[in-house]
Formats: sequence, structure tokens, C-alpha cells
Amino acid sequence: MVTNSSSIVLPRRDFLKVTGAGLVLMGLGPVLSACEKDAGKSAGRPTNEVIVAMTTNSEPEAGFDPHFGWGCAEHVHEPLIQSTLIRTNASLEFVGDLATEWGPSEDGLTWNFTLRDGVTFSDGTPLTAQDAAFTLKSIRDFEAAPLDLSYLDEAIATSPTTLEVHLNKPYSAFPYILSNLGIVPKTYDRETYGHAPIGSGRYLLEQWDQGQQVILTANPNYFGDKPTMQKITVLFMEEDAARAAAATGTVDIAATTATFADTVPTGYELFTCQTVDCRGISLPTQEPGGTRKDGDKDYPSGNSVTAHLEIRQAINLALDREKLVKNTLSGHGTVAYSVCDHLPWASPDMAVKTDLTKAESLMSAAGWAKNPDGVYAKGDQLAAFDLYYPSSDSVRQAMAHEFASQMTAFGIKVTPVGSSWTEDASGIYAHQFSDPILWGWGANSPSELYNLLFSTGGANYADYKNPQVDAYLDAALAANDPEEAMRSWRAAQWDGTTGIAPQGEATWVWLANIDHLYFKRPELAVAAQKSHPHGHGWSLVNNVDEWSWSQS
Amino acid sequence: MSFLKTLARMASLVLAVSFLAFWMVGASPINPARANVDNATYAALGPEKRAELAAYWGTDSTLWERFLAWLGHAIHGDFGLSLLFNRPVADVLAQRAGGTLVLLFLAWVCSAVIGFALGVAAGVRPGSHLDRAVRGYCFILAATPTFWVALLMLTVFAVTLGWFPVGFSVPVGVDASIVSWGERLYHLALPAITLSLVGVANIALHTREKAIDIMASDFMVFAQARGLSRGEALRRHGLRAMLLPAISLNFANIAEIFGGSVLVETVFSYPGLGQAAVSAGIGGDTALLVGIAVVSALLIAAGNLTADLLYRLVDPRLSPAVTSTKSTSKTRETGESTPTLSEGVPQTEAATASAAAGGAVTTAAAGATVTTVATGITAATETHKTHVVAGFLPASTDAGELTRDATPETIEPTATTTAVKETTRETPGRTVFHTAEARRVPGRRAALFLALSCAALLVAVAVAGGVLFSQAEVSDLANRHLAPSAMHPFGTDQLGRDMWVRTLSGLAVSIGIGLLAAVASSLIAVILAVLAARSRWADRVVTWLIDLTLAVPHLVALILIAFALGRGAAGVIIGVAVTHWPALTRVLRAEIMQVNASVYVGIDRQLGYTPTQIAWRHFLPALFPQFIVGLTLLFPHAIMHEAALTFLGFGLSTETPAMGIILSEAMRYLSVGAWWPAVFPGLALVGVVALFFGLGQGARRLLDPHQAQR
Repeated sequence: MVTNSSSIVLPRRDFLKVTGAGLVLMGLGPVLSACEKDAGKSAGRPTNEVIVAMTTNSEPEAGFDPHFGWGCAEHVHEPLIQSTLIRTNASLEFVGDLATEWGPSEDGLTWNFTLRDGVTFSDGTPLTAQDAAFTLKSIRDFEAAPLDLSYLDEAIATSPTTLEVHLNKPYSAFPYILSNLGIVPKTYDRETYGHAPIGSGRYLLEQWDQGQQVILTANPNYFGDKPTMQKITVLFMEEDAARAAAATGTVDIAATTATFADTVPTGYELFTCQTVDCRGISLPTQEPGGTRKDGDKDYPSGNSVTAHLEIRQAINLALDREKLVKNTLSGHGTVAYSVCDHLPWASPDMAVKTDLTKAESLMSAAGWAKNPDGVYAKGDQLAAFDLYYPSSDSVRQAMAHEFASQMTAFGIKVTPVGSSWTEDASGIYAHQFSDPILWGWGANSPSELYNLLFSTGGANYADYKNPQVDAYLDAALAANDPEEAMRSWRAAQWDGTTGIAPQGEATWVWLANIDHLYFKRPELAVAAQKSHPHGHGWSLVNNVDEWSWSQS
Repeated sequence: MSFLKTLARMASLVLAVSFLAFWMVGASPINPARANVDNATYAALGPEKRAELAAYWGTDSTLWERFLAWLGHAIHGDFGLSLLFNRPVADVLAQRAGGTLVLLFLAWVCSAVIGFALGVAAGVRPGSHLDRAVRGYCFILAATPTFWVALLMLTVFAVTLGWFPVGFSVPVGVDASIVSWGERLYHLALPAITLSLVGVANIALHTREKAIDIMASDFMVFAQARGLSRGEALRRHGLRAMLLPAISLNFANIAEIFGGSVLVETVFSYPGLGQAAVSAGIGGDTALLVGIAVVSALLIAAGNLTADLLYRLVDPRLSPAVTSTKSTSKTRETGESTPTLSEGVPQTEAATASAAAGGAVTTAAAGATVTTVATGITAATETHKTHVVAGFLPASTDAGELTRDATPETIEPTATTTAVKETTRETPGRTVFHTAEARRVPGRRAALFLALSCAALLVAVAVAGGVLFSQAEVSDLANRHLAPSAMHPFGTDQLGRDMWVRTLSGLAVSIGIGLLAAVASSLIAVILAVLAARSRWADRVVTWLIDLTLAVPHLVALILIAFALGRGAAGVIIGVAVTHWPALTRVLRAEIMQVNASVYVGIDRQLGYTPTQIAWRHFLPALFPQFIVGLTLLFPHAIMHEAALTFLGFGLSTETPAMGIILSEAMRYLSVGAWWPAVFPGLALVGVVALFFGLGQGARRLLDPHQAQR
């Protein structure tokens, strides 16, 4: 910019010339530098580095701080930069990380941990049981932490390597929480930690260009096996941009969706991960007129159509899930019968075969008959309802439409309504207990069953209340023996006579588990993956320290 | 003194902008406690935890409590904590603003240079092939949604040709300390070029209009008569006169480019203020959103201020040396480069015009500057072409009007121009050059035919779309992405919906939304213009409101409004209506003042006609054509904004077949080879916008009394 003082001296004509020349140079700048850049593009990269593209919402806005949900809440995954007390292996069994021994007391109210000796944080200070105790209490007490640790009474470091945690109720899902909860030093500073995290994990945060990328480098002082990958670059991109990045060879592995799965860029292959990332529709069980409290608000509850048991059961029977997976995911998914298919706490009784005849007989037995439009009716009541889904999600949009057309063909008229996660009259939350909604779930912890099924559970959108089911769920949480816990989790779904299974109360209809898909360079060997939970993000790189490049 | 006034004005604007931002975020249906955690995460939170989160996000206190608390801190320079990023808002802004400002600056310079060059090239020989090509190009740009252009640029230049990186402001996986400026510029290039395209059409078309007028002006004719070639005349006299309006246009363009940057940053994964604004909006991060609104208001205000200063710098008649009405000799002193009178000086026209108007019009409508110029050179030659005057006015006065609208063909773009020219014609016994206009005005019959056929086609599309509406939502996932065939002339989309039906219905919906928004906006403009004409005090209020509306980029304002009102048609319509009235208001306000000061109204008054009668006889006929023109010009804007809002996820429900939804959905499938859901509706949209332009052209020629008289 030419300053005012100098341009007053400049004759006007000259001033214009100077400005003009400047403008032209500005315009040419990018073009010139573009020429420079093209030359050094195809340089080979070291074999101990990898570039991963993730969705933009995988970026932790508040930084790499478990207090703001990093690893333990927003997207549940191993925190990489921090160590955890325990971890889960590929078959979801617990193994030690910082802890070498752990377990609950007889009454399930006290958990004891023995920690490794000689672990240091990235700033050089030793990691002791005091840091672990601090982390647990600090997250419990931070009002903005999206993790509820209110069942935690006290955490005491009885020695530098022993930790005693007191709960105010037995909570058998506690180890699942701990397996993603990174330990921070007791000198933690909330203002700086997110951008300059101090941890004892496999990687160090080298650089974070917010809104763009994160660079992680291997922690030279990590107590476990040395990572094979020394440098991880994670890019945050929308899926079209990620595909473009793959098409230009910018990334080694890029998250994508079924939409793009059939057009794999040259030099890449499609890499598929099994998931518990499931989609299901809540079917409100109450008659309309009531309300249900959520947070500080009362929401209308109940739906005059889905309150009928035979409608909920018929929907479960009439749905052709295979066809849905084929039409909406191009086959890149599996049929889903519950929120936790294939996990240790899944119940085999949740599965249901498509059976239109049985569905029809259920309807007619309950007094429903088809009207001239082909829609079931019973008196004035028409078997018709709205199905809400978040319109920003193209897969859910497709599923809502496919579900609607299958149901409408059967005789239950379903109208898909694309909406948003908002509280206004047309927003999804305003309808959460009164209309069927297409949700996405899936966690590597049975506590999700509790949230969905318990009468006061945080995600009981079917508003289903059954004291028997509640009793099973409480028993599962209180069980000290893992096997006994699993039995109770399954019984809550179906105990032979009652439960939420399709043959029982059919409070939800589950549609599909979505494969997590990636464009991957064929030479990149990705280590065996745990079943991915809901959320298309960091789970992939849980074990990036074991990835490798094949020599070619 | 005037500097202090400017400061006070800016402060009042910033205060108002920040309150509005607070109010709109507060009214939004987003629950930040819930928006920033996944549903699965939220499900695991007990009632106490949920209450704690609500308190943290401030949803349990009132709007006024929050605003006053924020204001108290902001006065001390503390803009609060961005809850989303857990960092001070000032830090987030500092980190993001750099990228956006450079991007904006480059795009702005590019659009200025390219737009000016194209405009001059086209305007020097109107009607030539080059002129047609430039107009066609600008027209297509004006009718194409920005994100559409951006995605196309990304696909062609970054993916297919590989000339540019696919996103980001820095190279992938490289230590920040060794990233060179060259690399940063390289990453900036494609977003900047894309963004500059947003401004090119506007600047080129307006410059073209100026160029045509100037080429036909007396001093250019005279220069060529003296033996200068067309090129020499252009270079020595013409360009300078054309440059001034271009500068004004360009500074007013900042708001548009800023709005476009939101879209471009999204497409190119470019971390800037636009990206942060979207995150803050979706995440309900009030402090950050208010911070961004304040920054953009300051930026635009600074742009207007710079335009003022540049004018003083470039145009000698506006330099402090001549602001007092002393003598012509002062004008000469300011610089030897001032053209002498014998060369056919443009500024003399201003003098004549102003003298003819008796000073009445100019004082009110154009402010003191023109009057000053006029009295400065009163005894000048008798030339009458007056278009140039508009260019000499600072952007913040009425001349700014023409610059706010991305649409071309506002032949009477500025209030002052119209006013001054009109008065010139009223003065008897003058020779007026009509060449430039005469060429562009076909007969009434042709205009009538144009308007009627455009209207008929639009009605046909709207009716057809309305009839087919219920079919447009029918999905059939077994038949998704079918290529065009006899059965589906436009193919099918990702849900197996017929694109032919969907496009027609989409056009019908968009025509409806566009019309409603345009009518609402035009009505606001009429009401405010009438109010402004009533008293000096009311005029100040209206001017302040205009500045306030222009202080926030349209798109940011639209996002806020769409949030406050909930998504859907109402949000889009009201959003467009309340952000797009200033341009028309300026025109109408000046029109009223001009008519009010005219000889014939004066005569009618003396003849004893009542104000109502005068209003009926003179004001209405004068306002009506402007109203119609404003209406047709606003229509494409409404459609573009609907499309842009939907692309960002703030628009209509996805079930609605509307052009924005159709195009934004279809763009995702371009890269998998399904081109038809994007291309056919895109062309249809350009077609409809063209029809509206045609209708506007025809209507203006028919209704505008100035032109109808010929």
C-alpha cells in the first residue's frame, strides 16, 4: 500500500501507474509461485510416515484435552497423545496400559489400580498415581466436560503406583470409560493444555494448523513398543475434498462414504472396516398427550400410531433390511438388528426375518384394514407417521426414503421429513419423544444399552418404561463378574418372555450398520481394527503405531 | 470534526451489529450444550451434567445479561472466550483473520483488474463480438451460484489438471516454520481466483456502462475530432474517467466478496473467518460469532472510508484544497495533470448540471461535494453529458448505490446521475447527445414483446412446476442415478427422483421464494424511501439503517437470520428481504427528492394541487418503474442466496425441491460421474434468471418515463 504522505507528493498520473503496476504484480504472484511448486511434486516420502484424511468434525475444536472430550467423549477412541489406565484389544478385552493390575472390590464400589513405574510425561516429569487421581476428579468437576463421572466419589493415590477409586454406585461399565480416558499431569492448565498437551502416550503433538491439519510425531520416551509410524499427519476435510485429495495423491488413506465407494481413485483401493455404527429408528411407545423431561425442558411424548404394539412389530417384520443396505449403501454395510450387533453384550434374540405375511396377520388381527389408498386404517386412525432425519446426512436421507417406500408399500404411510438438530418447532429435538427419528448409535461400551433402554435413560427416545428391563440393566451395571454382566445385558433385550426385542415390545427398528470406508494406498498395511463405533474419525488410527508400508 | 463524526458513526454501527448478532444467536433454535456433543455422548450424560453444560454455554441467562456482560468486557478490549475453541475470541480472530484478509485482498484486486479490463474492452465498442462475449460471460457468472463455480474450479484445476493444491492454506505435513510465502500464495491462488470471479461480473458490467457513456461524451468526441485515435483518446482522457466509478464499485464490493469467502473457504478447506463463522453458527458460539460480525463490520466500514480517502487523492476536485468554494484557480493548483478546459474536461458537466438544477437537488441528494465542484467551476462550457458525475462521489454517498448490486444493466445506476441528467433535459434550448442511449433502446413494441414473452415463459415454468410438485418428492432407490433417457429426460438423482420433474418444481419453488423475497424487499425500500424524504431527521435514521445493513456481509447476516427464524422458506425470504433493500432505497429516495424539486411539481404546487394529487400525478409514475426494476434485479439475488444458504446447511428442508437444494446435492455426485443432476438444473436456473433479466429490461423500457418519451 502506498502511504498517503508519499502519494500526495506523487503526481496523480504516476500514482495511478504505481498502483496499477502493484495490482498487476499482485495478480501474477500466485501464478509465478505455482510454476515453482510444480517441479518438486513427486518426491518419495519416508516409509515411517502416513497421511490420513478425516472428516472435518473429527477435529477437536477445543484441543487435545480430555476435559473437553478428547478421546473419551466427543468421538470415543484411544487418545494417542495421552496414556490411559487400561486399553481394549481388537476383541474388546481389557489389557493394561498405565495399569498393570486392576479390579473392583467385592461390592463393586472400590476399584484398585497398580500403575507402572518409571513412566514420564512429555515434559519430563514422572507420571504417578497422583496424576491419575487428579485427572479423574478434575474431569468430574469441570462443568463443560462432556463426560459424566458423577458416580465417582473419590480417587486417592495411596502410593506413587497405587490408585484407589471409590464409586457411589456399582458401575461395571467403568473400565470402558477408562480405556479412552487420557491421563493428564496434575499441573494441568486448562487455558493452554488443548493446544500444547502434555501426555505420556505414543505420540506428541508436533503441530496443529487449526481448521486444517494435525502433525503427530512418535514419543521417543514412550514406555511401550516403539511406534512403526514416526510421523502421522491428519487432515480434516469434507468428504468431497478428501476424495479430491486422494485423486491427486495427497493422502495415503482418506475417509469416504458409500456414495463415492464405487469410484476409487487410481492408485488406491477401497478399505472397509466393520462397525457398530448403526442406524435405527425410535418408535415412541406412549399414547400422545404426555410429556417427558430432558434437561430443563418438557417435550411432548407419544405417538398415536407407533403406540400400537402391532404397528411396531409389523414394521420390524415388514422391513427388508438386505434391500435397504443394497439400495442405500450400495452393499457397504450390514443389516442391523440392535444397537450392539456382534458385541459381547448383543442378544441373538434381536434378529428378525423379513416376514410380510406375519406382519399382515398381526395388523389384521389387531383390527387394521387397508383403505382404498392401500394404507392401513382402524376406525379414524390411519397408519401414517412422519419420520424425522437430519437432512445434512445424505446416507440417512437415503435410508429414510428407502424405509418410507418399503413401509408405504406394506401399508404404513411414512413421510420422511428432513430437519436439523435444533429445538425449534420443526427441529428434530422438538419431536424426539413424539415422532420416529432416524438416529445413529454404536459404542464399544454396553452403557449405551442402558442409555437407550432404561426408563429414565438419556437416550430412551421410545419413552419405553418397563421395571423388569430396568432391573436387568441395574443388575448388569452392578455385576462384578463380566459374564454375569453380559447375561443381564442380554436379558434386558429379551429374557424369553419380555424385553425390547422385535418379538417383544419392538421399541426401535434397527436398519443397518454402516461400513467405514477409506481410500487406501495398496502398499499401506493398516493393523487389525476394533469394530468402529459411531463417528467416522479417529478410531481408524487407534493402532496407527502398528501400521506399516509393504516394501514394493 | 468530520473524522470524529465518522468515528462516532462507526462506533454506533459496531454497537448495533454486536447487539443484533447477540440477539440473533440468542433467538436461534440451536442448543449449544447439545450441538457440540454427539447424540451418543449426550445420551450418556445425567440430568445434573446436562444442567452444568447448559450453564457453561450460558443458555440459562437472559439475552440482556449476556450482552451487557459482553459489552462491559469488550469496552476493555476483552472479546470473551470462544467456548467452542476454548480460546479467547481475539486469539481465534487473529489466527483466522490473516488468511481471510489476504484471500479477500487478492480476490478483490483480481476482480478489480479483470473486471475493469473486461468492462472497458466491452464498453469501447458496444455491440461488437467482444462486447457480446463479455456480457454473456458476466451474465452466466451472475446467474451461477458461487459454490458451484468453486466446486467446478476445484475439480478442473486442482483434481483434473493438478495445477493447484486441493485445499488448505499450507502444504500437507510440513513444519510451519519452513513454509515459505510462495507456498502460502500457491495455496491461496485458486480460492482467490474463484472468489474474484464473484466480483468480476459486477464490476465489468458497470464499467461497461460507464465506458459507453464516456466514449459518447463530448470530450471524447472532441478529442477524436482533434485527430486522436480512439485508443489514444481512451488512454489520455477516457480511462481516467472510467477508473473513478470503478474504484467506488470496488470498495463497495468488499461486502459481497466477504460473503463469498464463506462459501469458497468451505469448498477449499481454507481456514479463515468464513469457516470459523460457520462453525460458530452451528456450534452456538455467541462470543466468536459476535467477534466475527464486528470484524466484518469494521472491515467494510474501513473499505468505505478508504474509498473516500482515495477519491480525495485521485480526484483533485475532492482534495481538501478545493473543498471550500473559493475559485477555479484552486482547482488548477492541485496538479498539472488536471485536464485543461480546452481538452473537454469532464468536470465541467457537473457544473452545468448542478447549475441547471439550481443547487436544490444536489444539496439534498448528493451531499456537499457536488455542490462544491459545481460552484467551483460555474462558468464552464455548455456540455451536458453528466454520467461521469456519479463517479466522482465517494462510495458512502449515493453513488455507492450502483455498486451494491451484482446485477448489470442498471443504466440509471445512481440516484445522482438520474437526478442530474433529468434536470439537464428539463432545461430548454440545450443540445443533448443521445447516441449511446439511442442505440440501446429498441422500440416500445420490441420491449413489450420481450417483457410479455419472458413473463409468459416464467408463468409457464411456475405452473408446470406447481402441478408436478407432488411427483417431485417421489423417490425410488432402485433407480438412482439413471442417465438421461426418454423416460427421464434429465435423468434421476441419488434417491431415484426424476430430475425433469424435480427441476421444474424446483424452479417453481425458487421463483416463488425469489418473488416473495424481492417484493418484500422492494416494499421495505419504498416505505423507507418515503419516510426518508419526509424530514432530515428521518433521512438520517434511514441512512444509518442502510449503513448498518451494509456493514454485515449478506451471507453472514443471512446465516444469522436463518438461524434466528429457524430454517426453511421463511428464513430465506425474510433474510433476503431485510438485507437487500438498501440499494433500491437509495434510488427511490433520490428519485423522490428529484421529483420534489422539479419545476413541474413546483408549478403544480403553485396551481394549488394537494400533496396527494401531486403524489398521484408525479411521484407514483416516477417511483413505479424504479420499483419494478429493483424487483427484477433482486430476484436472482434471492435465488442465489437460497442456493448458498442451502449449500452451507442453513437453508430449506431437503425434501423441498428448490434450486439451491438440487444443485448443492447434485454437486456431491459430480465426481462419481453423475453430471446430469447438476448440469440440467444449473442451465435451467441460468435460463430463469435470464428470463427475469429480460422481463426487467422490457419492463424498464416500457415504464421508465425518461426512456418512454423518446
